[in-house]
Amino acid sequence: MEFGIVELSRFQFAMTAMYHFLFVPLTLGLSILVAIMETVYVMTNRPIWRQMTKFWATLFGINFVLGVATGITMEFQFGMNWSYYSHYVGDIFGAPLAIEGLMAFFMEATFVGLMFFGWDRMSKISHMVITWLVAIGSNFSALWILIANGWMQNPVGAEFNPLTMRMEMTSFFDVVFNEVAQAKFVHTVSAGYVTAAGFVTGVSAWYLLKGRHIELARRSMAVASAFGLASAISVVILGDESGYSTSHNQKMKLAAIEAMWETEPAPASFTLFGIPDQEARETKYGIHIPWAMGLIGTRSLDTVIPGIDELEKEAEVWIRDGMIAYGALMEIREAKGEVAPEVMATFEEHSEHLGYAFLLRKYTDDPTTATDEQIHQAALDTIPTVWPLFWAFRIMVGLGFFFIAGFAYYFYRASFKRMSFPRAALIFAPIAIPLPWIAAEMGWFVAEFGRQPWTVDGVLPTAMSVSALSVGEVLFTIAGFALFYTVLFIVEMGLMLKYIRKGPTLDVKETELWLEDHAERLRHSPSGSPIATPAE
Amino acid sequence: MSFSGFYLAMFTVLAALILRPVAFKYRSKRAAKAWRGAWDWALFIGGFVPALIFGVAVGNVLQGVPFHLTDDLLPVYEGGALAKFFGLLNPFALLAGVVSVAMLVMHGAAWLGLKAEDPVAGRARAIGSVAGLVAIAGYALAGLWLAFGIDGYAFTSEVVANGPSNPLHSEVAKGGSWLAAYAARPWIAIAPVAGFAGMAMAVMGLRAKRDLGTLLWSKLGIFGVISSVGLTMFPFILPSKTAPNSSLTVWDASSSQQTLFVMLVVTAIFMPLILAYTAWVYKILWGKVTEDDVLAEASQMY
Repeated sequence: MEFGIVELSRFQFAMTAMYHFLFVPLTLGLSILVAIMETVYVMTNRPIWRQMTKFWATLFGINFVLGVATGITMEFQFGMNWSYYSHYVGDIFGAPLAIEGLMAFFMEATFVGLMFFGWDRMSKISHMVITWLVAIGSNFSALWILIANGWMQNPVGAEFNPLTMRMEMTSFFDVVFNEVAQAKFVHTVSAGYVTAAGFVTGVSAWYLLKGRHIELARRSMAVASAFGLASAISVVILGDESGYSTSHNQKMKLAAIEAMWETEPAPASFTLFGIPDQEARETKYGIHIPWAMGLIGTRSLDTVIPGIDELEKEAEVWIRDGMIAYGALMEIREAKGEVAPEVMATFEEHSEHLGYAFLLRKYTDDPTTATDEQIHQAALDTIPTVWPLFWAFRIMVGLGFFFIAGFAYYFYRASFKRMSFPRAALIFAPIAIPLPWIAAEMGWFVAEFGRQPWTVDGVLPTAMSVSALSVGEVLFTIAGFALFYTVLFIVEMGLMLKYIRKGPTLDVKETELWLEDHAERLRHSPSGSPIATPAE
Repeated sequence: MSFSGFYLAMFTVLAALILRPVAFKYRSKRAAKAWRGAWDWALFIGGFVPALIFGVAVGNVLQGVPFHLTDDLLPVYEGGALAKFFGLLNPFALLAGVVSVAMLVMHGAAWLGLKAEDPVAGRARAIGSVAGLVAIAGYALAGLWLAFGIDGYAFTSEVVANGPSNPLHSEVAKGGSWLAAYAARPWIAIAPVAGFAGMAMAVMGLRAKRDLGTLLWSKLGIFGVISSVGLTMFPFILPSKTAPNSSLTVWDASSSQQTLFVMLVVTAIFMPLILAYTAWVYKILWGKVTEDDVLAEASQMY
């Protein structure tokens, strides 16, 4: 593979996006967990819950700010590195991004300040509302970003305008209620909840292991393991929903994930393991589960899932169709405004597959005169590289099921075994903290790498989407990001570890006030610790 | 689209903008002097660099930028990476950068005068009134430069305001003066007048230690300076000096009517909401931040 502008721009986007997503899932989940803890504080008035709120919110803040900062990079890059993409689909893609700013980002960014600085300036209930608004704002952010990304996977509610040479929105409703976007949103935020639950469980287990901050750790463990179990179940179920929407919207992605070379009679089998060989178009040493794929992918016994061979032939037909549209587009451009109606009619008839003709531009300057060999090559390009998708998907799904089992265990011990954990479980939980991150990054890899060779599925090839830059410029910024992001990562991890080691700060004044208020009741209470009564 | 043309400059802005929120949050997380000093510098860069480069960018836009659109409407900027970057740093653009930085320093000083006590407030007022004078002088100089030294752009074909959004459908030529706009639309003189008046009143306010009024005058000044650029250039957004026909204008670089309408509705709903809750947050955090506050609340904030 030669490294030109396209490859370098893709590499930079992948690198900065995956880095950004180190911080996003924890923000999504931890904001909700903190809001839950503060709600318990407001309801019970117990200082320990205030202490928990503040402790986890401190860690939330350290993470949140890098999520915000690295998000700026994502938006900048559409203009800096993907200017043709921005021109071609900005009319649709720009709207959800702008709405994200207006509806979600301003809200979370404005209220996060009050969340940290406002404790003594407002009532408890007001502060709790602020914390919830930060959590809701973060999650709304994810909604609009995923509506934008969902449109790249399944471009609905838009059509190509030959006079402006770009896609234009025809239905805002269709863009917002795109089934792919909705499935992705719930799947992604659930993944964030799992990440945060795993983080809180892991840190709490470490405290229990060390015998420190027991009161905080036990309660945090109780909240996080329950939240984690619910989230892990939903991330798997909603991931299945996401897969189902892929089966009829992005057939090639699904076939590549499953390494399904040939169309099988319905219901197709699911390949549990195997070694995909793209050259020979076969999966070696495959272990198949009969019927499973057909049932999961189509939710029926008789719907056929097309294999890669068949989809490649289909792509060839669409390329030929797109070539007619391309020819008509060139005539429209020549006519400069005075377009003959029959040319327009030809264009409209074939414009659905215009994007497929663009795939030919890699091989010829004039796609209308492409040879059979060039058309065949372009059709081959519609097949993404199978093995990374095959494996990334299986790692993600395997981890998903593992999270259900893991959280079920911690939830059971926390809720029904009076928080008695074997030592091994307390050692394992902190070690397992990175696993949800791995699953989430794998998920994004499957979603984005699986869409190749397109930035917008079937509409705009990745190779055409880039800016007119020089290799040197992109190499320079890749090096810049690598250096800058590494330093930020080290600083962030240093602070996280420092504040985890330090533990919560005891709110002396608050605790004394509470003890005074409850002195009478505590005198009659058999419990040893006044701050944490077992009745809770 | 100017993002790809100003590639390295935008990368610099981006790096500074990343530093800014991180510095706000992380500065207080460790007590070491070196740590806090480093984040103070990060905050300085995070404020200074974007203020400078956005000003430089506006200075370049007023002169026209060297790019052309291909038949597919891909913007291509002439020159290599370094030529593109250093080409941005021409004298007029740097002057615009200085105006931008000085104007925002003045505004920051007005804010500190309102929120801080001496000696911080006093220092800010002293620096801010100098910065305000620099901004006024720079803005006046830039105006003269535009009148005598820089060509404007104008449509040479008929202006089609509601045609397809395609810059190549119209013809544009360089020549004449940007300031011709003031003859065609005399009312726009209100923008530079507001710019000068706002900045002058802000400087006087800083000297007289008037707090709230100074901030509002400074806001008006900034509003006047920035809107004067837009109103003078209208309908141009990004003129091309090497291929004027590729210039982007309000009429042919806009979104589709559908998208514009959706965004109008969304903005009409959310803008008032944003203003309302932002005002509420300002109200909660209103008042001077004193040394005692900082010490007393140190344990409450994180």
